Amino acid sequence: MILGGSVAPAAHAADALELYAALDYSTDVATAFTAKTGIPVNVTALSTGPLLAKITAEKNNPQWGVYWADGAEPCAAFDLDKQLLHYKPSAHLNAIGQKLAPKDGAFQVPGFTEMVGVVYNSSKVRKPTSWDDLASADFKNQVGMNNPSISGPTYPFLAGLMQQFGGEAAMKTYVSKLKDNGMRVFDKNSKTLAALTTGVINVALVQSSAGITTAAKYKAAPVAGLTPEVTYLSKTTVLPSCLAIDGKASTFQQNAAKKFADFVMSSEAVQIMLKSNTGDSLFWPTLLGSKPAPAATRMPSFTAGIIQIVDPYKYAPLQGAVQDWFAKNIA
Amino acid sequence: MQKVEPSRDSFSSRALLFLRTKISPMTIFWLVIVSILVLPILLFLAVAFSPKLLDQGPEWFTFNSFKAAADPYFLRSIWHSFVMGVVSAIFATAIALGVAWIVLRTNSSARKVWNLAIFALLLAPSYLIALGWERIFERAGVLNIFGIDIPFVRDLLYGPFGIAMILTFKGIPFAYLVISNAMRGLGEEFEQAVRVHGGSRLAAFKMMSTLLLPALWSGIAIVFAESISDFGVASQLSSPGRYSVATFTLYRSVMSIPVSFPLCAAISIILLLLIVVALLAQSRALRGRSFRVLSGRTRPITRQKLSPFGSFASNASIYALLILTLGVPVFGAISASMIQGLGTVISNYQINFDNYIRVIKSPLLRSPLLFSAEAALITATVAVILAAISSRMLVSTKNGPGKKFLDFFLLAAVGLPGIVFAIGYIFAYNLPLAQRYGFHLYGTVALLILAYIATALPSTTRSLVGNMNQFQESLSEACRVHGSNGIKTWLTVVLPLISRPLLAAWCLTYCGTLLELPVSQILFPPGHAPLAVGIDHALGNYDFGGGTAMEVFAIISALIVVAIAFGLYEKLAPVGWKQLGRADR
Repeated sequence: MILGGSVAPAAHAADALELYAALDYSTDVATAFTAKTGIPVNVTALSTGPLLAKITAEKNNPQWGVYWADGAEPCAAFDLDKQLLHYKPSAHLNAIGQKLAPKDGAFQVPGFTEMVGVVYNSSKVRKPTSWDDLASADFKNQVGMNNPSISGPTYPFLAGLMQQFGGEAAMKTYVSKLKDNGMRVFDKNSKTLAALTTGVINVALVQSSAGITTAAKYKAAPVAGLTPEVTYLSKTTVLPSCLAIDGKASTFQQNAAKKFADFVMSSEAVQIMLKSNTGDSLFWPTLLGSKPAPAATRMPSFTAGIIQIVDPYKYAPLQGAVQDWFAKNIA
Repeated sequence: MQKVEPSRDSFSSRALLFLRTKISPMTIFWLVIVSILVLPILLFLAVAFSPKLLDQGPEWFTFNSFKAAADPYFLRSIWHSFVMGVVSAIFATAIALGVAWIVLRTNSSARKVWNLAIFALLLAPSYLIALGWERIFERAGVLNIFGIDIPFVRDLLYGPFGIAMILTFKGIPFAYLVISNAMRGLGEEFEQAVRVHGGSRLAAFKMMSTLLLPALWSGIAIVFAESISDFGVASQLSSPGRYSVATFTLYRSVMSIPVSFPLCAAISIILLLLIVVALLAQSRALRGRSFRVLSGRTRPITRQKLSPFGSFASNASIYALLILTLGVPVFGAISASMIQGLGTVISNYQINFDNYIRVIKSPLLRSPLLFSAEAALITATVAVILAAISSRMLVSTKNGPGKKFLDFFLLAAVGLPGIVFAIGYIFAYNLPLAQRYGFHLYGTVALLILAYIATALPSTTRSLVGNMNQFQESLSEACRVHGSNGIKTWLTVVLPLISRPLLAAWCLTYCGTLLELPVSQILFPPGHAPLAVGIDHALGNYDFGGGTAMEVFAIISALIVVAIAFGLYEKLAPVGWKQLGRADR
């Protein structure tokens, strides 16, 4: 096994599409793409942080062809740095999809989740009704959230608070209130939810797909005293899953990447993603006419103003400073 | 006049002559060291001063990264790391010395248990040790279930005390391996000389400790460097307790979006300066002394017969230490992988093997485990050979620039957290220049293994320094005077005397490589996910039970390999090789 793969890069970059992805269904989609087009795909599957570290380290000689992960801010940052190839597949998007995908085709948005799904243990606490409610005495020492420096999907949540409350200062005031009310910070979705299921906290602010997975798990196998349920507070921020193409990749990579983007934005690929049976499968597709997985149907209403969309180009430049503040004052 | 063409034969023979005279084995050694160690480290650190060199910023030369690193928050975290490093290094080495004396010099019955447990201790990832303690003391943890709530202990755990404690536990096996190897080479005659001249047992112990100074300082240096570069404990306890340490700050900088490698490099340089302090302290302590006591005439040790109280005290100490260092992470692994619903409700939990049955059938375990085992095998073998050469150089009486150069880069590789070391590999092996000349190592299994070797080399080298320091140069000099070449001298004189320490170093490297995560994450080629990446993936998908079950399997598989390695040594090694360090029962 070792000797076979020792010195030859796996299907050399000239022959295969290099896909860097932080979504569990990416391997299934890549396999189906190869079966359909004959173009091999090398999938580097990591969480968002290590993936972006790798892309940044390769900056003087990029090896990736396609980047695919949750969160539009990194793609906006790449685009502002002129790293992306703009391409618009001919897919028809629903109303939210049209608002999420950049008009100039900087990146594609095949689906989205919400930040945050508020997962609360209904056996121990009542359902929270608003953001201010989480800072009340009823939820003292009960709340946990992810660290935006470690968890890729979490900064968009803070960006949404900035948009809703009217700026960075207002967001910081609110998050500080939560901190003063005993809020705890964990690395990412898995650890925050682990804290919920072990009773360290009773309200977890996590990505909706993670929350729905946990709620479904304990609904299927009930445990006395632990009844996770998911609710959404007004406003909840849409978290797009974004696919971007490297503007500095070779002609082969770019052509293969365009075909891959076309495939991802097709109903065939959407069905593969939904049926992939991973936590990431609980998303809402942007392709017109596509329905989400049954467990994910209860989406907060866009028309009623419960959910909001933030402009990644506006908030991407603030990410470093906000994360720095969070690390020093909240985490 | 007829033109005479130089014959191909004369060109080939000239080329061969050039190679033989100019490229010695030591040249190859240095080429390897520069390629796998020096180049990645230098390129990564260079980015702190010249971001544009590797397209990480607009400036060709700047100190801006250091201004950001001079932020009070960062400086505080670096100070915390320094304190944690010093405290854990001193305590781990002191405890390891005591344990080594009990195990190697007395007839304590607990010594056999310790010999079995030491590799399990090495294998237990630091975050698992931290997790085990959390499971006991956290809110809704084990003690809470039984109605016991001790908030002040929980607060201690999530602060400097808890971090230092767990780093000490994690450092004990490293220090023990170094000290025990050296203690085995220290014959009984020195302690007997003290006793014969009226010295007390304490005086004999002090004298023995003095002769072990190189090993003690090596132990302190290794544990210090491992502690300040550890991320597992930092990630579990540092953030919740708000006692920031440099590795967590550095990891956060690497994982942040956007990434700032110049800032990471600046923090790394400051961490390395701490290591230089450790090196200077070590050098100062050992200056002008000789510790060369190892030879083929070193006598077997007669174990000291302990009194009933001494027996009880030594056994109790060893077992207490094992409960604290191994019992707790084992509990952490069990609670995470077998008990369903621990901590969720009072007394409603189930113990079963569902997670183990599930993962044993899963492709997420089998292929990565095989791949990682093969990689660890290759890494351990090559690293031990390079470490033997490196450790000989480090203890040489000649204090040339090569020795200092090697010493610094070996400790730099330990002091730099794995993830930044891996980024250095991308900088070095993804250069456009390299690829233009057909040098396609980036994205291959070979590069991953080279990185593993480079990561393992420093600890493996330090673990052999104690023994090499005891080796009498006159042995090999006598061999050379009588006509042996360098390689034959090594095989017939050096190797037999250090065979057991080499075996221990091999096992240490195998175990460490099997569950290595940060380098694996950044450098694994598509389709060849190492085991640790698979485990991290499972844990990231909220499958705590499955991920921890995979870890337990990996640890068991490593212990089996270690048992086979030691078994083969006992069976196949010449009797004379096994004499050294043997104790008369």
